[in-house]
Amino acid sequence: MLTKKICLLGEFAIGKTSLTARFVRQTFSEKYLTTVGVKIDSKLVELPGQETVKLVIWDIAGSDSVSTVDENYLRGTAAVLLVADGCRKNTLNSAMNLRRTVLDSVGECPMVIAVNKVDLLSEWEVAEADITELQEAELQVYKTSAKTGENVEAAFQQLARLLINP
Amino acid sequence: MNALSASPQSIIEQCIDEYTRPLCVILDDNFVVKSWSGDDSYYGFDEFEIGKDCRDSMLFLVGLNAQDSIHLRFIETPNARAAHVQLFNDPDGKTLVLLDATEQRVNHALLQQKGNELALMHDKQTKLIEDLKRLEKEVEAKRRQAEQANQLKSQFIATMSHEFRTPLTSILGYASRLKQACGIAPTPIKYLNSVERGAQHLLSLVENLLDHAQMESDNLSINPIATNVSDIFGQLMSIFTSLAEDKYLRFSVDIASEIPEYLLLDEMRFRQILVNLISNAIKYTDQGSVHVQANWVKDEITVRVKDTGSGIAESDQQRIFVAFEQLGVHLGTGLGLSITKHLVTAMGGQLGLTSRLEEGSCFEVCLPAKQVTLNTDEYHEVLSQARRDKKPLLSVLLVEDDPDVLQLLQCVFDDTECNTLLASNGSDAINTALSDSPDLILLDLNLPDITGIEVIKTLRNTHFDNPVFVQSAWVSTEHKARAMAVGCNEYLTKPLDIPRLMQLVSSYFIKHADFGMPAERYQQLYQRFLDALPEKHKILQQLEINNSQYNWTCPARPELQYYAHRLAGSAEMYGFSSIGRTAKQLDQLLLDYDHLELDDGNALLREKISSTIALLRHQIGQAISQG
Repeated sequence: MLTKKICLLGEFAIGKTSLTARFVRQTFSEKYLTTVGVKIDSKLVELPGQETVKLVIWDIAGSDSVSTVDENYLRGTAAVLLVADGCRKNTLNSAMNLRRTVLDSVGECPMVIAVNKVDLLSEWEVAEADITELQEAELQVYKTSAKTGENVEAAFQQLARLLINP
Repeated sequence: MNALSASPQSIIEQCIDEYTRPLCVILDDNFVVKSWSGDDSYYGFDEFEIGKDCRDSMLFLVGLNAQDSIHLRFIETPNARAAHVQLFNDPDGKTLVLLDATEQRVNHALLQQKGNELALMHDKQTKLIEDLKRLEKEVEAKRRQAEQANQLKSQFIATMSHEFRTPLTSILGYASRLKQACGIAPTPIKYLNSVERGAQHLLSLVENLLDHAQMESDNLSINPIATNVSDIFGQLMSIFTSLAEDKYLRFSVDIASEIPEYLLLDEMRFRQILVNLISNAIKYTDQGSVHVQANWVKDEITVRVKDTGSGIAESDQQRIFVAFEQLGVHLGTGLGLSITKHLVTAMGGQLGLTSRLEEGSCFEVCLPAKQVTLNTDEYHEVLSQARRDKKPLLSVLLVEDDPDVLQLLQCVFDDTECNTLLASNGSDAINTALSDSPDLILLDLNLPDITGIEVIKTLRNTHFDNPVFVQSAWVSTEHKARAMAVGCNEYLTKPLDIPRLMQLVSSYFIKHADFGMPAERYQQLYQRFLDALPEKHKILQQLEINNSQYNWTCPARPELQYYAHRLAGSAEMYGFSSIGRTAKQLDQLLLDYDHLELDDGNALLREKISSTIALLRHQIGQAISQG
């Protein structure tokens, strides 16, 4: 069975831990608890007609500095889920900076962007035009909600798909 | 370390072990366990087996290459403890060391949580401040828009007011002159009275709108001057007596004897307040009376306007002071009481109302009004001097681009036997003024070539020192201030109040006797007026004798009205204000006579006309005896 390490990267308090909890355990908590260091989870992803892949998910603590991540954490990562909070536009900028850090540190690897908290769409600062702009740059963007589960499975499955068929 | 005995060293090692819970695993290049030491169950890993790949249990090793050395801080272990992980890559193989960081993570988490929450709050605060700034900008933009719209509205109203005033000058002026010219024909006079009433109504609407616009833009200015209060009440009597009689209402004015002759008040605004209140009282009263009572106590004048009209319900008593609000359907803009309240407040006073439905209303105006004493001796001295002088007639340069208004002004001044010079633009005005040196210039501001302001500036720069009166449809204080600043002596607004103009001309030339020529010329006119007084007295006496047989439809009545009208203008001009007022009242009564078709009304008016003729004759008699 294929086992792959994927990292969730993004600023603090944007829902990385919640996305992982939703994807792995189908749970959600409204309470914000900061992550220190790394939480590691795993889940088997079965794609129709494809090899089953075990995703080892690194939920890495977010930082308020825009593009820093301990490169030790990235060592051996096969793919990255870049996460942003739709209600805080600056977190999307941070995600893009982290993407460059990954490219510098790891090199080309599958990356998907999850713009989270789509359940709070009325409070979003990220505009549809911003997302379109990313899509036009051939980045794969999902508007996700860890709270409702919207597009969470789809974003992880897409990463798995890219890992199997790069 | 060597200095320590074996015992302390073992204690320290024990402490370190307890604190760090070290787990050491020796691996080959394929992450297969070769050996290990430490408590693997403390971190919740599956039990290690020699010769087995440990990456199924230690997920943090997934993805690493054989050559990788790493140092990972705060890795959460399967049982939710935390460890710092170090992977050493030696030629002999790999050594994996885990040190407990559970307690350290708790402390770190506390700090990080607070720090992150603080940063989130800061983000929210920044966002709120940005929202607030954006809203402020929006509000400011809206405010500017509203201000601009308001300015445009005020400009529009001011322009419209100007545009209305010039034709109204012609309408009112010519209607008045046509009435004089019609002489004996009662029907045209009736029609002209209707024209005059319509134009006056239109003028009052325009003035109300302009006042409202000025109040909205805080441009309303109050200019207190020495005001003869009894004169004002006399004028109000003259205006409203006939209006009240038209509706068979009793109209009375009671002025307390304590009221000083002169009070410091904005005369125009004071009159406006009373006109609004009294006209409203008459308008809303169908039977009974309207009574005006004035008192003066401790530097405050109180005027009560009490009627027996329909009254105002308590629930409506605040509404009536709101602009454009009207109770029921009535003619007008619904601005009168709103303006009145604004004026009273602006003058530092209070406006009160007590009213009961079907019983009537009482509006009470209290205004601060200090007593003023005028030095009248100087006035009489100048007047006496003027009477002694013998000089030729006044020459007046009339500057007006509207030919109708120009012609009207010429007629007015011709009646006073002044020598008139005419100009319809600014350049001609300057040339005529400099070549003929008129004693007075009556100047419009809005001229086709250069403005009236420029005309005054040019004349003053060339040492033309004779008086210049501006007559303009621009009524704002700014226009007046601009004109006064460049050397205008008086500022009159259109439609021109002709008797007021004449009064101003006469008083001006008496007061400014040091102008030389005008005072002398005035004397000539004055003497002519005095000389004609016995003749006037005789005419009135004859009319009084014939009163019992007087045929009210006979041709003599329109002639009498024309006579009264002329006398009203000339008497005021030469300082005989009481004669002027009575003549004006007679003029009005005779005009009103046409409106009444009921016998009772005619009888009432006839009686009033007779008593006014008697009063006028008496006043003229007094003037003759005083020389």
